[in-house]
Amino acid sequence: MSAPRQFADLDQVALPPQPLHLAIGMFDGLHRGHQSVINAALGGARRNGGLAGVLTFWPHPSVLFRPTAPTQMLMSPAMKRAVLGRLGLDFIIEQNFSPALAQIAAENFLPYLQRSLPQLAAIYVGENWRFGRDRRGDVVQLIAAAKQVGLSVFSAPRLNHEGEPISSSRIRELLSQGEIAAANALLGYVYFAAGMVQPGRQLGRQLGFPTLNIAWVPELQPRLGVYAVKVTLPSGQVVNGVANYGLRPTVGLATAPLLEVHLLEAATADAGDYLTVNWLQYLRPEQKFADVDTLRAQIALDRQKAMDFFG
Amino acid sequence: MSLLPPKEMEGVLLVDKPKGLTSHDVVYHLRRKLQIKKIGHAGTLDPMATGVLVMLIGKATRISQYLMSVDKVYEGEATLGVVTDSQDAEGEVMSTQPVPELTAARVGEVMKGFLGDQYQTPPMHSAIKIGGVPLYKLARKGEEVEREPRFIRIAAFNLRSFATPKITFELHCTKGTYVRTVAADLGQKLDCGAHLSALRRTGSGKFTIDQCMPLEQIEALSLPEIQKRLIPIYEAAPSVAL
Repeated sequence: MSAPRQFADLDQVALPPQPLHLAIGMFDGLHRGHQSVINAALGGARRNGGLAGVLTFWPHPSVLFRPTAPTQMLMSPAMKRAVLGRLGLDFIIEQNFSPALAQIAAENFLPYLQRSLPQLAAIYVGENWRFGRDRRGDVVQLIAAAKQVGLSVFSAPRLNHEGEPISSSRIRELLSQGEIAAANALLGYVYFAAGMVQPGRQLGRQLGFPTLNIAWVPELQPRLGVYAVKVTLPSGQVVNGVANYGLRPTVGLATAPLLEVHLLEAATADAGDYLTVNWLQYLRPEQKFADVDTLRAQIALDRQKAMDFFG
Repeated sequence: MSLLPPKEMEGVLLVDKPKGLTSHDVVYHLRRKLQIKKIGHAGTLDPMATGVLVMLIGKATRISQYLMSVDKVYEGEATLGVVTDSQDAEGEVMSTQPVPELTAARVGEVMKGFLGDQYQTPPMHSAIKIGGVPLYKLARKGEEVEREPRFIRIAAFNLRSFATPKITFELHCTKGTYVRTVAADLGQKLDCGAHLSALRRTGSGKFTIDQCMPLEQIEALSLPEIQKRLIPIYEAAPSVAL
């Protein structure tokens, strides 16, 4: 499986002359519902011949329309790219959601797409997808418009998990409540943070629990606390760990939450290494301790809890 | 020797429906054979059609909703140039037209245009009821009424062979898709009209034609042999009952 070709704008797309099967959406989180839309595009391309791709946008439209309180994204563009990269797509278009794009009326949206993608054959969306100025266009309109210009439309039904629809906002809520296992079930993969190891202040080492500090600033902050994690090292090796995501109130240093990982196995990483931290289980909320000794005792307990989790 | 009363037959029986019988005829045949009243089917096949008919025996009738709503796969044959009132070979011929010069590539190209989500207007010759009256009763009286188009999805529509005036095809579609309407629409797009001259259902959800046994053979089996062919309800129901 080769890496998908990346395009930063619809105007820059250059692809071999084959029919295009295009999944369109914000796809924040790339949860199971998003994956079913994208899998339909992959299936369409495989069955009918052609290339499968994704058209996604940045920033979220709320940045334009609600600049003071935009939706907090589950994924940075880099994180989205990483997950999209493992789905087997032929190409990815990351289109800037500009004021000009937001002004395109629903009835002009398909001609606009076809100008940049003349080989477009079929588009794949979620059944609740809206498009065009003021979100006027819905799937019914899309089907009618597509018929006019000779395109096929495939809308994927919303998926449910335990009787409730899977949605990005539900996952945001679960993450901010520390319901990591439930969030992972909706995502269809394990929630992760990826970033470079930063030189730390050796506080963990002094406590007897050396940690790796990961540079990671998500928009949507998962609940502060301690998590059982699996860390992927640059070598590809995967090691169990226990992570603290929080402000470290006991040592009173941070103003923004930090992600620190203590590895449960003999392995190391150096400053500058790029790590992926996969979040599996929420162990406890962040807590301010009376003194460093109580903190040290708690970390030992956390460590044991994480080891029990991994069995 | 078990002291329990004999267990009532229940489960899904996969039948390859013969040509000429209605789906309900198959129910009658099985009622007679199994001596059970509670028998139904999930998804009607027209009399002229053959292939996968999912029969529900005993308590399995309860999951008919689930089994009816699944996607279907068909192999069909359209005859170009002959338009019938029912859109299939059972109907009256309404018009005949010469078939234009066509290549398989051109036909395949036009078939691609059928892919995707769409709204299909059900034919007048259908069992859909409007105001309690089945449309086909009105159609027989020569009446035509407005029908609500229905949402369908065609996931694949592949040309199998083309020799004027016959087209054979494979169609993957959602429940409730009228294949004869697809065939008639294809004829229209090819500028000569068409009707559906043969139809065989080869898949219904996860069940395929290879799992089905012709009705005649089933009728020749003993009851224990039939019992062995029954698919338990928990296996037949979709894995995620939402």
